[in-house]
Amino acid sequence: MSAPAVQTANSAESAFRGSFNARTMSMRINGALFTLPAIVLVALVMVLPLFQAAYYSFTNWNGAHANWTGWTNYLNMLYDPELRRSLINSLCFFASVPFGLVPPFIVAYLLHKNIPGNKLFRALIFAPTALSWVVIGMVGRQFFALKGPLSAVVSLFGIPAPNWLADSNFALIAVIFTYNAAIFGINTVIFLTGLATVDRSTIEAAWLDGANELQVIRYVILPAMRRFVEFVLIVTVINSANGIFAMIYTMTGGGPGSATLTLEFAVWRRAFATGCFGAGAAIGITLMIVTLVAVALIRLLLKNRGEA
Amino acid sequence: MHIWVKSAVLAATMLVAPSLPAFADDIQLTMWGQGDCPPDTCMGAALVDAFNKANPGIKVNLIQQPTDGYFTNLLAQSVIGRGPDIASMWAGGYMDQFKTYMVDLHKYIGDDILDTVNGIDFFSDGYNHKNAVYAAPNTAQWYIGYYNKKVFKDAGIDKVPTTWDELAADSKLLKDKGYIPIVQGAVDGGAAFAPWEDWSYIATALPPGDWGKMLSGQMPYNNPTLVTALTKWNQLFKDGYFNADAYNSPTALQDFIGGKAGMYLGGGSWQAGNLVKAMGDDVGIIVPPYSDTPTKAAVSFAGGGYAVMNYSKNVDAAGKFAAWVLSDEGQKVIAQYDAPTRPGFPNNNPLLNDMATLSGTAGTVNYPMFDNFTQAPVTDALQRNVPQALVGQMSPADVLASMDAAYASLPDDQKKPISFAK
Repeated sequence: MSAPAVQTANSAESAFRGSFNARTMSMRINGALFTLPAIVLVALVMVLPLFQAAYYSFTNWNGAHANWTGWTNYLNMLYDPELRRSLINSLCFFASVPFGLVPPFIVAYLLHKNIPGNKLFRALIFAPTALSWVVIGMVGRQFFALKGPLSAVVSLFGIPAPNWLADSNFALIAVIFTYNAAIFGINTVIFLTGLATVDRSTIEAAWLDGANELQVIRYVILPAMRRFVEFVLIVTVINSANGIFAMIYTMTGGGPGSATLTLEFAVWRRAFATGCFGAGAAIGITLMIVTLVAVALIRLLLKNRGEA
Repeated sequence: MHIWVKSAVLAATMLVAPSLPAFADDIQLTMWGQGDCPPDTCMGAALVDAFNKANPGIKVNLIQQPTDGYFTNLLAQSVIGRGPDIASMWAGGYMDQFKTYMVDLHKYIGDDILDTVNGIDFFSDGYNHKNAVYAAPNTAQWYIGYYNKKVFKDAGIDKVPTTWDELAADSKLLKDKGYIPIVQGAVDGGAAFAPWEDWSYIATALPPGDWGKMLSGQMPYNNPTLVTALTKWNQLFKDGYFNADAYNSPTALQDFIGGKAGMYLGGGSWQAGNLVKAMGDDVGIIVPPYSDTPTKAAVSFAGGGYAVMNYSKNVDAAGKFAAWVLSDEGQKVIAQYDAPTRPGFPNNNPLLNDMATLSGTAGTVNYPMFDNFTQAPVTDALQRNVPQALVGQMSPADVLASMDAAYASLPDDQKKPISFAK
């Protein structure tokens, strides 16, 4: 190739590159402009309040006036037995998460096998998902009432039923049970969706290789559904930490005493029932950190398992 | 015009539109009431209707809020300036936290009226209505118990008990006859029963002066007198004289009205209208006999009031409503439902008249409602823990210690001496 020809080719290439770069830049700017409203919105309704809450957690804000108090609100939390109890209760909710995962998975697996009445069961299981947490709390309250169905069943065996929600030995268990029952439907549906994505030929190959049902679930289905399991796990944990205030409020009001008080509920109680908004903000920030740590641990655990 | 210019104009219009004033003829006001308000017994709704008719050009819209958490919700909305124009208010400690959000009503109500209003001092700065007045009281109220005369007669009880011992003896008679002697429960829709009424009468074991000392931190709540009183209260539960689900029964009031129970001791004058309507002459008032000697106590206080919030965009119109409540017209409407706060407007509810007679009887020691003076954290401890003392989930000493701890946690500026002097 002669020198002028090479020069022509180079200049065409650089012209093309220039045009490509200009288009790429233009697309990037357009992209940024299109996402700008969403970014501004998220910043206004989430990021800004978060920073505000973080600031107020270092003050004695009472709704009207705020003075800087440093770490006082956080240090007070360490010595507050009620908050220690609420932290333990929140951790109990976290610990109960397997109960919100395993039964839905089993039911989803059974439904996926096309048992008779499959579609009806799907509808019945999913229907309660449309209920608000307030309604779920009211149903739970009736279910666990001294004159409610659970007590009636217990009495059939000649055992005097306790007043479940008024007894600090049972109230937390009752509330946790209600929460896991409430998320049963949505988790089942997510698992059903996940099961539909598993490659059928892989399962059949495992059958041919002589794997039994449990082995197929453990070594084929669950690894293939890892993303779904992770999603359900994280959503369930986050919900248990941040999404059930209304249910607890309706069922027990956080009582008796602090028996069903969670960190989420403590934010409300501290801020609004006692007027200590700064202390409430500190509990809120702590709750956020606890939740983020829990989610990070779950992701780490599942990542290690996936790699193993 | 470029499309983005059109879009920008449209977007700006959409953003600004909500903040433009409504071009309606009426001034629209929002008023928050508390709890259920059945159409035929709702005093607040009747007041609003009568005011709207008497004041064309102003329209008050009544919105009932749940009693449970009412003040926390009001505070949350007030902090961001989004609360109602007019708010149902309770006096004392409940009101103190809203002082920065309420208007002084002197601008709308003359001293000639204010001087005649019973309980106005409790809604005023420093308990003196010559200072700022924050709410127009709508009723005089009592904490009071009720008993079913028919059930008492059936159990062979011819007079109401006046001491702990008599209460236990009568409860036994009622229980033996198959009645629930004393019914209690979450009657206002909350998750547990509110202990305000019971607690006030339990605390009458101490004289009013000692109430002031406890509220001011000069005397511990955890004292032998109150420990003994709470222990006796718990003993009634242990003996089966309360319903087993007293802590959170959702049907307590229905059980009383339905004749299943002899006494409902955690009530108040605001229930008198409904009870007379449902039970007729069978219902009577009873002072909760939480006393070693025949009780002489009566717990009464200014009832609710209507406060005008200073973040309202129509403060003057809202002030007009507050003034109207205390006018002759407003008092006549109140008298149809409850006990008005100005003299000369009698009502025809025999129970309310009995309560007024009780308070006016020589020898009666009139106490205010205790929880109207407790500081927010103490109120919180009281609300959560006193019901547990009844059902034996917490020892009386622990309950009272939790109230002392709540007081100790107060910032210094809230540890002020409290007295009930007018």
